Amino acid sequence: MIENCVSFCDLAHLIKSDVSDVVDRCAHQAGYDHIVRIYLGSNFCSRYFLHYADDVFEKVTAYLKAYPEIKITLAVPIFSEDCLEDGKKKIQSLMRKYGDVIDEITVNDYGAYLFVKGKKICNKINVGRLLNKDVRDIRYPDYFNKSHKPDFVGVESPFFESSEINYFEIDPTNRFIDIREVKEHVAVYFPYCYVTVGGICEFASIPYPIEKKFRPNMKCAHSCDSVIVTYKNNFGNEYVKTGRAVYTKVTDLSVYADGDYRRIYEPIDVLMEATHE
Amino acid sequence: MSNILTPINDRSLIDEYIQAGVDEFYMGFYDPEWSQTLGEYAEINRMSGFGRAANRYTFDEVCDIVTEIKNKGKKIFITVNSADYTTNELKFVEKYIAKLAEVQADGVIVSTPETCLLALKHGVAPVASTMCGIFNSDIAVAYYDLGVKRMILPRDLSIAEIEGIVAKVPNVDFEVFLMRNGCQFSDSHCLGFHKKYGSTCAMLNNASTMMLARKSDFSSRHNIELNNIVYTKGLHKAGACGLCAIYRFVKMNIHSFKIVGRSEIKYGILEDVKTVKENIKIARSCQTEAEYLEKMIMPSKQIVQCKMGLSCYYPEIRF
Repeated sequence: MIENCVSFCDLAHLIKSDVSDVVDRCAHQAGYDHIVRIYLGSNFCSRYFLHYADDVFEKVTAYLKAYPEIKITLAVPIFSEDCLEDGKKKIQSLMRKYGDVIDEITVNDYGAYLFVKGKKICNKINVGRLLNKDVRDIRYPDYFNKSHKPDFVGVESPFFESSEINYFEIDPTNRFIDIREVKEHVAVYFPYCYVTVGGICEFASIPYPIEKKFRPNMKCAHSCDSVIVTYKNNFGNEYVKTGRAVYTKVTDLSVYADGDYRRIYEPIDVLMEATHE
Repeated sequence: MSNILTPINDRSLIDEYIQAGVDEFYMGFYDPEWSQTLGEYAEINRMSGFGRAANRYTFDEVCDIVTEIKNKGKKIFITVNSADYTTNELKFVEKYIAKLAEVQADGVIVSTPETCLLALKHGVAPVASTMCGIFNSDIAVAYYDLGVKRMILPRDLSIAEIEGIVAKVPNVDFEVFLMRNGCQFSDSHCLGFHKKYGSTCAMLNNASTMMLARKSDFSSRHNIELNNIVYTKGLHKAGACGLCAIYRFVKMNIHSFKIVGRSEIKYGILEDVKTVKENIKIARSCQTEAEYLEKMIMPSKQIVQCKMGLSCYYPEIRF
């Protein structure tokens, strides 16, 4: 069985208006007939996670009252030191308030994994996309077009046993992702693959004078809510920057799977349409 | 401690580097057997994509260099810090680490928990590479509990954040970046190749771009576009310095200052080593940061490098 999910991580500004309408648009774009899970939170930015307004959760949980079969996964970014303690408090606060619908947490670093596990904050922990570091580079077609079998060396990690992990989340690093021999539960983001991310946020700097711009993990006014940059290189490869991350679109992804897996639609296209509107 | 750690990519320069003030060296290697077995896209270390420019020597030659540097009373660390390794790649990695233990390398710069464990298994000190992404003290504690006693902090941390991590995890030898190459993104999560088409950041900076913005009034667009111009054309374009932060780092008891540049020419690195060395001495002799900032030696490219904090790892010291 394939689990159809939508991620609003780092894209919560999409659901500031009508949740139902945006979820429908996402499902349509993803080619889903139904969804079973919504991802909220952030994979890429400490500040984004801390800014995450309660009204997003209020709106989504209100929407989900009509769809009790849909659950929420809370994604947690790698906190930069300045945000670490507040970030941990925020995780606990969100779980206290919305623990009835948030039944999974996705972590993106080992410190967060040990925190969530050690404090018994959530029974189901996913290993996030930032902990899968398979190289991805669309500029090299002979690499990109080959079939890629993710090798979860991390399951032998001293930090966790594979049986402790709910899902291993990965990006579409190659055109063909082959998980037929993978014993673990796998979740594949699509259609965008994150290529790079950094602690220095271009958009956070917009309101600052030049000599104050581009500081790591700087405080911001959520400028990423309102700007997207698209890139086209000399070979025609296209990229998108939204928030701190740069992505490339994998339009004709094929996932080879024998058993169950999860696919997570990342609605950057819907965001781009909305930004044009 | 305030050691100076530099790359060595030409063994004929070892003495010159030591004379200039280098306390510790690091280097990578290439291995034709690795490439033949695992293919051209498998990388031994993060700089493998730069080819021989960054990894000039074979593994056996590097083992000889380890012995040579040890005999001169200095330390040497070897990089095995690709973004990730497959099970097959780890078999090679273990073979390298076992040999590095034999030649008594001072440490292996590793990128994953699995490679940390391999180093510990063979009795070589693991050094957590910037590829480990130690952005906070919880991650540092996780690696410390694993047995890692030396860690390289990412380039994209503020000084206050570095101070916070160092204070909370006091028994670790921390390295921080100084001089030469700044990055727009995080080493640990920038997952493109550095091969013939260059780095991802350089490619993006040179690509044709389009900015989509919710607000299209002149002032909003101006601010967004100006910001993008400064980001793509100005940030770290004159290299990255950090000399002004030395006083703080000396006070924090940072173990080593890492001067990067494995693929670069020797004279720039030598000049940086001498300047950093002299500034460490000045920092130690000063009573206050203000005194240090007054007395310190500025970078030779000050006229372009010290403008608006754009070519500095730690611009918050001056701006």
